[in-house]
Amino acid sequence: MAEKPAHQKPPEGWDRRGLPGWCYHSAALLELEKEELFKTHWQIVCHVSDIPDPGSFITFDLCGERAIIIRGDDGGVNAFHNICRHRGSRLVAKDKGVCQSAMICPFHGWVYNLDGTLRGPARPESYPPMDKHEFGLRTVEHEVWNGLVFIRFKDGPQPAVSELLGRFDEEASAYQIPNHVPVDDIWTEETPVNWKSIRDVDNEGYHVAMAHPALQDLYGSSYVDDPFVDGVSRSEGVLTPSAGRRWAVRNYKKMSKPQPHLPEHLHRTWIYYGLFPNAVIAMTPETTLFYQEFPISTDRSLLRSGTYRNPDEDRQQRAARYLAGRIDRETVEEDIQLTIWSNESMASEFFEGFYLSDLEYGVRTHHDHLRAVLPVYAEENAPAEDQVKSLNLSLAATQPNA
Amino acid sequence: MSTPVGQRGSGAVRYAAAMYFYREGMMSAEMLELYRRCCVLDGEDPVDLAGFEGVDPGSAVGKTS
Repeated sequence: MAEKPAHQKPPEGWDRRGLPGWCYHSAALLELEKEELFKTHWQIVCHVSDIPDPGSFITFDLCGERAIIIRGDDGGVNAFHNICRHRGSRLVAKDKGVCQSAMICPFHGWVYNLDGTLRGPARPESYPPMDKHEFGLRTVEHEVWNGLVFIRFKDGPQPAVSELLGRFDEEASAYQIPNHVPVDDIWTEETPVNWKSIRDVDNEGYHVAMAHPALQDLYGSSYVDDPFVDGVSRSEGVLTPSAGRRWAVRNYKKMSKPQPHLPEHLHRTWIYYGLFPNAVIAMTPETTLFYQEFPISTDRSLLRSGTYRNPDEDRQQRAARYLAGRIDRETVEEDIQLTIWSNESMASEFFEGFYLSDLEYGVRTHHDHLRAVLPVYAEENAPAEDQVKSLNLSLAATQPNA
Repeated sequence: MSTPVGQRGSGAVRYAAAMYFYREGMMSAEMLELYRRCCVLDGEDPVDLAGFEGVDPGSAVGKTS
């Protein structure tokens, strides 16, 4: 049985401030974030069950880049830039679907095999002989961890996903996530805030008692956050023994029953793994889900989430899963409002910045990770927009590990 | 190549297969081009189109319906 990790307390005298307000509305900083955070850090795209058969695909856009994750003829998962080698057209336009035996560019009709090699250009007689590998689709680095498919557009500071999340291997493997199946299509929604305001809310449980009555009713004061260490954090809430005062919680507690594949200490536990910079993997006895956010602009972000369930469930488990989803949706709606309130304070001249509780140390450690990648976050006063990039470079050059 | 005409996505399947047969030297460029034109027209039979336009479908690999 996996040993439960010890919960970490913040150090004495820790700096309780958050990021300076300018970091939430600087277009120049956002460009750095796209390049140095989003393109260079692992991103969850889907679960292997989203692409079950040869030719099944899902597309994924991020910060001006686009990828296609497609199941090959050999059953393996392939990841390519969703860019035709001819004129750069979006090769596959749909969010998901099945390419029967080949990918065909909708612009001129170049044809690619499911392994990315070029089957042939349109009007092949108009070209000299073309090597199928040389003109094949460019691959995107990808990795599958516990059934979840990760990609990374550019090489970056993180190790392999298996190493990054390695300390959770034993615990996560108990859930048998690779066998899970989708509950629904991947959900997306735009929200009018800077992406970091979403993380700031999600990285602490201090607000749960106040803002999330259902979660409080579900696991109450048992909820604990372990801060970000080496790019990952962990939080958990154990269902309280009370019957539950709210309808969904009361019935969830009644319906949720021990899953035979889980060790006893996980029978009534909800777990969250935070993955720097912008994602969470959550596990309940009934479901596994991921959620993440991507910047659209300084004040708009895209929320994205996928939910998966045990492949075999009886009516009671299905009902429990429905109720867990209902609690989760209620929480998401509440959080969206909190992120709006938090984000708008960053534009106020009169807000003097966060003063964080020990229960919000996860926020601080996430910010510490941000500063390690982009030291310009540490600037208390907004630099001139055209100086942000160069200032960041000069600060990075003076870091101890530069 | 034998995916029924009219079936959703069948035009693309036929064109992708035609590209294979072209590469293997079993189909003419002219015939391949008809398959390309029919790629997004699932209800259009490239072999029938070849007859209509006077293209020799002799090198086509079977009729598609």
